Amino acid sequence: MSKIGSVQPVGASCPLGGALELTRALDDDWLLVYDNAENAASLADLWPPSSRGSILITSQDSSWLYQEHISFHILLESFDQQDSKAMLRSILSKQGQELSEEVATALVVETGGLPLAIRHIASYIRATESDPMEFLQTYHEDRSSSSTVDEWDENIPPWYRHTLATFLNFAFRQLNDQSIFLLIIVSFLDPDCIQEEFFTHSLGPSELQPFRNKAR
Amino acid sequence: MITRHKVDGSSHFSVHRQVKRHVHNHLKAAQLQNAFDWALKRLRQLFPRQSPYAEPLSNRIKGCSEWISHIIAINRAASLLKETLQLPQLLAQLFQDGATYLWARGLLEEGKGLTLAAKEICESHKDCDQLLIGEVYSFHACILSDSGDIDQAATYFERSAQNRREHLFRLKQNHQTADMLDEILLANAYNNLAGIYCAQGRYSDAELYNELSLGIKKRWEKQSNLSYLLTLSYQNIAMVYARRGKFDDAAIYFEKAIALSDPDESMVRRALTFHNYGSMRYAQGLVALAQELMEQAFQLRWESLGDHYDTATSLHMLAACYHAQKSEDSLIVARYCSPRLS
Repeated sequence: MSKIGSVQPVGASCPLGGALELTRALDDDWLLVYDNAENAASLADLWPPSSRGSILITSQDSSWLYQEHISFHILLESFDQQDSKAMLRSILSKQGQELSEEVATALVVETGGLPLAIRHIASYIRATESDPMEFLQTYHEDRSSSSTVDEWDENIPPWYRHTLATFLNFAFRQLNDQSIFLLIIVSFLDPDCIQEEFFTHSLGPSELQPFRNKAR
Repeated sequence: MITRHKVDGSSHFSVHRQVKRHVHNHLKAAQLQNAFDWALKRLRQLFPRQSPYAEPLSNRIKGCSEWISHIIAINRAASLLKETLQLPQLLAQLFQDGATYLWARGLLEEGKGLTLAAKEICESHKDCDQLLIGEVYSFHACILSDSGDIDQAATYFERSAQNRREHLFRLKQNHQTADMLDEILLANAYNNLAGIYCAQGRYSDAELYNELSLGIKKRWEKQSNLSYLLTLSYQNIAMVYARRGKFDDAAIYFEKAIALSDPDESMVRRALTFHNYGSMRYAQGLVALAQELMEQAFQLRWESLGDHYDTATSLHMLAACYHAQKSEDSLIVARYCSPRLS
């Protein structure tokens, strides 16, 4: 790679055509990165007109593996126990929480070594200042009483959706109404870049009402 | 579940897509609807309404592109949850304004997605605001026209004009007086019709609608600043003259449009006038004049639109002027040193 063209960040503010045309204009090889791409259909119109370069796609959608125009793929495996524990400890240690080997192993088993699940579970324990052992106990009880059948995107591997959905169901049940309301709002917006002012700038009483604690 | 991070020094949040999906798939319809309605009202407060008197929403409005990203995300979510959510007219209005912004930046496919969604929402509401429907049709037509679908665009412009006429007729029937906005919206519809008829080569029809539009604007000129809208009419009139080979008459109206347009408030429109005027001079063989006009068009477009096909079109025309004048150094600059690649 001898040259990387300078383009504005590609988003709604910048015509994607500009970046694609740039690949045509460059004389040298180029590399185009689509990070966290959804599925093949979402990129159908964003395929460069030139064949001089390479495209690197990262995605959680396994249907990419069956696309004819994908030359090589790497299916990322889950973390092994050692890496999982290291990640778990690195998140919890920021709050000075130490994990015994036994509890760390039990938590890692719950996550299946899935980095996203590890991050969510560790962040949850940290944010709620829970005792990891107590968290595990509540989590086990909740899971055994839950009959939720998960409706995940069919292209997400089953083990992945099961592990993460189980945790998210558990986490949602711990949230109060106001937090759920906030989470739903966020889920309708562009997930990558939600300005803080969306929730802070010049809010009137009627906008704040759903976030106030209701008398029970 | 929600991560906080800094972008250009200000706080932002992000949420993982799997969490987003999980929320949509697992929470109750009533919960989703309440939060959806809240988000729409909030976006409407933060994302400015497109004025019928001014140039399309620009990047100069703080955070405009970020609000647009949310509107596009809401369109996708609304499409996936169409069996669950009720989509209010407010959403159609937001889509309409979002499409205006995207259209101005040449993002026609995303813009078309929003106008189609807005149209669907309007048509699903029996008591939909007729002015909103007219606006949606009109803007859908603008996008179709820029996408090259002139005939289909003309159909939607005609529907929009008919919608405005019927609105004024209803007011009259109810012994109500039309206000400036009502009439200006009709003038804008006539302006659009004139533009599309000119593109179709129906110059007599174009002239008629240009006159009708200009007449309405002149009537209200003293009560409000209509310089942007008058500029549109003068430019449309100039284009019809230019197409008919009446270059001197066209030049008078191009000059009028340039003199009236505000250099700060309507850069995009001003640039288009310079570009069209320059193209006419080039067609006349007055290359030195054309070059001066194209340089202004290119400069304005680069400043206001940046990397955009309109900017490239002006640059292309500029290169043609340099080539015709055998100005080799300048031609090299125009050909190889596009600001996009510099």
